[in-house]
Amino acid sequence: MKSSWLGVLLWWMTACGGADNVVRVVDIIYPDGRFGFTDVTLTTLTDLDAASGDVAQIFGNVTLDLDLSQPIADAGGSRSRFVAESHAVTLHYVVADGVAIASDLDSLMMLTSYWHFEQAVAHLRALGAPLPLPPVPVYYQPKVKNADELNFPAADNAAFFVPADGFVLLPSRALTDVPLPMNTGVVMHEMAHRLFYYTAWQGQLFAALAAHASDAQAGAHFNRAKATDEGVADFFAAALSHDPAFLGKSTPVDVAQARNLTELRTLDPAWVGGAEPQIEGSYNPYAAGAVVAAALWKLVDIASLGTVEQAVLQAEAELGAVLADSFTYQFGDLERRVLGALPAALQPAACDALALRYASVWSRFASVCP
Amino acid sequence: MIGALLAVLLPSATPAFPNLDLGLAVGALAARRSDQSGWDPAMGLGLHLGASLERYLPGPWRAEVGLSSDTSGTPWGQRSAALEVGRWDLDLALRAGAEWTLVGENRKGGGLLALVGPRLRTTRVSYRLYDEQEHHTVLQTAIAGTVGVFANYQAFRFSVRLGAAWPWDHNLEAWTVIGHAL
Repeated sequence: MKSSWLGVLLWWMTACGGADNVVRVVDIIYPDGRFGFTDVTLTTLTDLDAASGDVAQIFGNVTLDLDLSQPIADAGGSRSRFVAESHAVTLHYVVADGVAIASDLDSLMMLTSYWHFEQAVAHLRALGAPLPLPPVPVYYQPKVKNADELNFPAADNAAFFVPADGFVLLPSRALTDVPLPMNTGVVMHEMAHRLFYYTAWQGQLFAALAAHASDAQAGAHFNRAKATDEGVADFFAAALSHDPAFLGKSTPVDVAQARNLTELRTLDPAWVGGAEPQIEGSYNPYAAGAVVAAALWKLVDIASLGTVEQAVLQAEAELGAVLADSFTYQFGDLERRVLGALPAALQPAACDALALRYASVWSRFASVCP
Repeated sequence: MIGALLAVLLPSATPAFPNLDLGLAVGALAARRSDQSGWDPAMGLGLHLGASLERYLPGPWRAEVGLSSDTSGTPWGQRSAALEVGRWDLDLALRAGAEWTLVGENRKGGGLLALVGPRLRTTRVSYRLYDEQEHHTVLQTAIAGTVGVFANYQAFRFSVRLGAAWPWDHNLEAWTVIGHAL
């Protein structure tokens, strides 16, 4: 008698069933770039409750300590120093018809972010990108010590936080449209930074910075490489989201327009030195980055998107053979390698497409665009 | 039902069913945030129909059926203009356990109570993304337990309780129940 009651109780407790990693997320689902709800299977997820899987694990209640007084080890070697506190998250959801439906905004945001991280990694791996990397920690809405002193944003941003080899999803305060962690393009942008770190910098950025600390030009070289990194990241973001204005749903019009990849943008001669332009006394890598992104996007008119993406990956890999050791980078160093990686028959048209945009440094393209 | 509600408000000198009581419950709920960064508050309301069973069973047994509701949404300060997520729960719970009178006597006394039993929860999750809206309603089952203190004064019954459920639903509940014998 007791066992039958126990059986009924167990059936009753489990009658609702599990979600089997099918979750409802926010994604760009309309051809015009609009966001909507869609059901997806998170194939890499190993623990739905903890938003943890083979590509990422999301942590909450995080405190980041931006202590830059000590040398930083590459590839996350100093992570424990920068992440003062973190906790595994516990998603809130209900299961309807086998689909996990997040029941609070944070859970919906984290599930959607995981989906975008999974998409980003799958996309890059399909292109042959070297991403045999362990799951990356994602720090959800962390508190940041010393943020003001270091000009680190406290909100309304997402970042690949290189010192911890992890991603930071900051809370949305001023930006109250589609939150950044739910924007496919934004997540891909950050994943592309990680790829750039491990390919172009060979995962040795901080070692290279330390080795060239006494070089008076190191800052200019780093700024130019950083701007190029931003441009490449925007290019991959637009490629995955199929939206060259991917920021538009999450940021004010002026910010989105400044990064729109469909604009004809030229590299200002004043920027070639690597010190300009500046915002509030700091180098602004996004201006020159927008030139890089728009140039790469323009190549999609000449070659297929996949062909251009693979050319960019090859260029990053070639750059990786020299960048960390030499710590020298000029605008055009990546772009001419991209042109060189395109099929030979397409190179003349590609050169024509970039000539005006890179007139200020066109001599650096001589080996590919005679 | 109207008569029973009036009975909560108007003292009755001679309850027809002194072992039955109907109570109005007001709850303060704390939901652990999914990112573990703290707790979100919510309010709940409910009705409890309780029966003291000492007349029929040896021991200080008590049984209750409760209907309660609470709602929660995105906390202020974390709102998105484009996106809203809301949640509404309706709980039907059966509880049985014991109440020990530690002070005074039956109708003028107080003590401790501990009740446990099955809970059927109807949860409605609402999403809005721009002008696109969708709702999902699901049934969930759990074992819910509550412990607290109670006090009887003539036909009135007061109790303050803390409750939680298994499987853990990230909620701690505190309820104040004001009841009256039927």
